[in-house]
Amino acid sequence: MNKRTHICFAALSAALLVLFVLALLLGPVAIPAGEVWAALLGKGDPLWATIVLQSRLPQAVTALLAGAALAVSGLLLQTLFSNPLAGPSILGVSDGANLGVAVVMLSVGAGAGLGFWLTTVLAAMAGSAVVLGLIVAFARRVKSSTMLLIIGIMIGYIASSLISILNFHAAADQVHRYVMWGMGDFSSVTMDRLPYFCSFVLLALAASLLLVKPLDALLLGEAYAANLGVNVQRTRVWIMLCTGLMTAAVTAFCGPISFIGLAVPHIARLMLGSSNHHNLLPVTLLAGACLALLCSILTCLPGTSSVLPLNAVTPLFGAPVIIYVIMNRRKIHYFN
Amino acid sequence: MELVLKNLGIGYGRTVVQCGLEQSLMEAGVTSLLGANGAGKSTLLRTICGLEKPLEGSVLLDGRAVAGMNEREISLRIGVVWTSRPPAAALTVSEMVAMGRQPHTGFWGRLGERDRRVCARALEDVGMSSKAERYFGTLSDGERQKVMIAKALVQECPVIIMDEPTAFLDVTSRIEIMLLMRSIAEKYHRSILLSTHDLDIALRHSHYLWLLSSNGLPMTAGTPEELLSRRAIGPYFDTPSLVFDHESRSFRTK
Repeated sequence: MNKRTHICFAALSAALLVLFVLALLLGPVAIPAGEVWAALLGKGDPLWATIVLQSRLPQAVTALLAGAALAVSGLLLQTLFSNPLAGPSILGVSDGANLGVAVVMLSVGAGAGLGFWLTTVLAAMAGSAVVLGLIVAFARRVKSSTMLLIIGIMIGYIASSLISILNFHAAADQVHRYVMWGMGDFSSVTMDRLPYFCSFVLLALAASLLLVKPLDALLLGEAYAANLGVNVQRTRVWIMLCTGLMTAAVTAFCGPISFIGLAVPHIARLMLGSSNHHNLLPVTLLAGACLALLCSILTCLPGTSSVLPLNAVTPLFGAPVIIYVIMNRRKIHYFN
Repeated sequence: MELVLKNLGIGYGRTVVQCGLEQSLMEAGVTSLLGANGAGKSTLLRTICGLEKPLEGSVLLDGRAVAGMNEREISLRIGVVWTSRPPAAALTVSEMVAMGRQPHTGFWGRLGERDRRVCARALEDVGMSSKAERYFGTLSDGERQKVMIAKALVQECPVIIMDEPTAFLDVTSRIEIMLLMRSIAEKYHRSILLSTHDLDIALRHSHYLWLLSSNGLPMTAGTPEELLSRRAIGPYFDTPSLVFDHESRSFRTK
């Protein structure tokens, strides 16, 4: 590992720690730092303890893991399709998950229990799997990566229209609930749902880390990768399982969150100056966690009592990164 | 290692491109695969390295069919260099070459002492040592192809397959690459099979030629001198308006 890589890891780990602490300290209710600490130790004022342990802690953990999962999904898709502008939201994978959730929320009816949430996760997974399957099928016939992205966007539109049709026929309270979910929110993962969310995401993140060697080979294109001893077909299935599981879990629990999957791999590559997955994958994971925590903190700025939707914040960070990358693509090595 | 085509039929799906191919690859030498477009050069190369299944017959490596080997077994026996440049990625030249060690490294692909030595020597062999820390994307097309050759070298395969490795290069780089492949074949005893459209360079610089026809002639092979004296090259290339002149080794109008 060279010096630049060391600096990246150190800076991101420090940032992650600071942001995590800030996420516990800041919120619509002002709680002194000492009281937050006491609450974490199981002491102090019971009301504040409830806020810290039942709301802020699960929200911070959710943001951290959701950000890591979305960012890693984006990286896996960018490598799989040899396309730096791929991502779960652009390729329509998030919309597929979204549609799965909509089917459950708008047609099956309301529910609040854990069983209901697990059903939405399964539906989201089915939705994202269908879209990934379609994209892979199109990728065989469409060689141009720009054209493939446009197909992904079209699939996203189709999913959105189906959702609109479902909305039209659903009851008002279901629609309201679905709209609230669609704004994106890290706070909807409560303490009792957190273990499920964590196990889905950690499982997929761990599986992704095991793929670094074949991912590196895929950087050379499939024909070279196959000659390096990589079973391309099997690797593709693993990548799709990991991205599908992560996108689906995050979408079902937190709503469709845009831009983190698309932008964070670029931030990580620009920081590292390397596409080598041994470093790029962990750096993407850390950077995704940091960015999601930052966005989560910004949604509930101190002094304001209401909470902004997450999707009002993420594009403010993500979109400029993508525009910067496109404008400077001649100078950026992973484009040439 | 002995590479033999045995009654090999190649093609995609139901389209048969060539059939009944019988040939064995010259060891420790450069064999150029020549033929007009559509004769099946790429298909043959892709079939030899296991990316396509033979329609009939087999490609044998020391008696074992390639079609029955898994990716790893093939990757330790046949190294490839393709025409197209690899997709863009922020990799340095030495990282790119080190990719060729993947079949030899463990689960995480960490490089050991010997892996680094092999990579350094391969970079030296292709004359790219001074650019080891440059980004691959900043190289010229000819330099990129040399790096990919180094990648194939560090795979330490007895057979190297190259699909039109010089297609996008200028004329001096084309000759350079051919001379480089000759010296690699002789120095390291590699059997090299490369496809090319460059009849002139192939006649001058390869040890052996394989000719594929797009109009039904059976495959023929031999040293350049042998094929020229047999006047065997013309029929594989002649068009209604152009004929190959075996004395001047060039095409002329009818």
